[in-house]
Amino acid sequence: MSETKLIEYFEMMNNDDVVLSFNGVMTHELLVVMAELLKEKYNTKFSNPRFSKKLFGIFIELMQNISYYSKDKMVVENGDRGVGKGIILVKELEIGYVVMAGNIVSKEDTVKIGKKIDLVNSLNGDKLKELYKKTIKEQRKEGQIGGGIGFIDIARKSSEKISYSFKEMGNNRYFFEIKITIKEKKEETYG
Amino acid sequence: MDNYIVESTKYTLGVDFNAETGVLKMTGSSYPENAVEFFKPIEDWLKKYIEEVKKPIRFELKIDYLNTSSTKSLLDIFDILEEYSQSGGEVKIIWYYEEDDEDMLETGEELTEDFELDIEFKTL
Repeated sequence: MSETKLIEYFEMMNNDDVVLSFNGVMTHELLVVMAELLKEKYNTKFSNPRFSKKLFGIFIELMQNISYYSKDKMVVENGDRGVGKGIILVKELEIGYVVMAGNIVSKEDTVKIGKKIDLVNSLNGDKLKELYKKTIKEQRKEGQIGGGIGFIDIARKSSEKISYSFKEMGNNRYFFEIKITIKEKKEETYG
Repeated sequence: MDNYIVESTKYTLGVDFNAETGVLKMTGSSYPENAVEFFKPIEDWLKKYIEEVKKPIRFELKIDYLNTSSTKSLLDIFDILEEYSQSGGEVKIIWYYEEDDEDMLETGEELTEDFELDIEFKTL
């Protein structure tokens, strides 16, 4: 096994303008701290607070996706469903941010997730709003704690189409990677 | 009937439901770990109020942020209120938003536009 020196991670992230990153169990406590940091401190690229809030919202939905749906879980004491593991990273751009999130999913999930994102990516503005309103009114399935609308909400807040991929890892394990870009600009072309 | 009061946190709404005055307030940001769990007692209280107290309701919302799961739960509350209103109950909703936060106004309009409810939007 090769040994990566910490400085290599450090330099790689710095060179890539990563301002916030985490790899591990996405507990709610952690989510709150990171999301609030992002809203209050790490949003220097935006002059308009609307964009900071959009970034905040995207980040929360992505982290909660990992926490709820990752196949890799840590079972916490008194917790009955376990807390998902994954990786999240926020990168600075010239006029905005990129948020990337990744976690392990099953083969079946790759089909479901792919379908959802492709649908969302095929729609713009009003059509996306229609889908949002339709989906948000659907009854939750028994035991479902999420809303099933995360990707739609993310798409409406982001500046570009959602980019995603799956990489097979063996044993019915796939690495799901999603990338969201948000830029501050006068006209919002998407969402 | 007891009032239902919950202090707000960074990620959960402050709730102040007053059974005597019928003024129900929700304030703050909402992205709890489990929205279903957070909103369940709120819905239960509301249903009980409608069943037992049957007085007018003034629902005041001052919301800064809702994650998708909380948004879904809020719609369930609007459902309950709409039903009450249609069966003769008096319901008034006031959706407050910060003047510079038009997204929150839009969210409010979007979430309520399909309900037959008396809703007013006001800047803070």
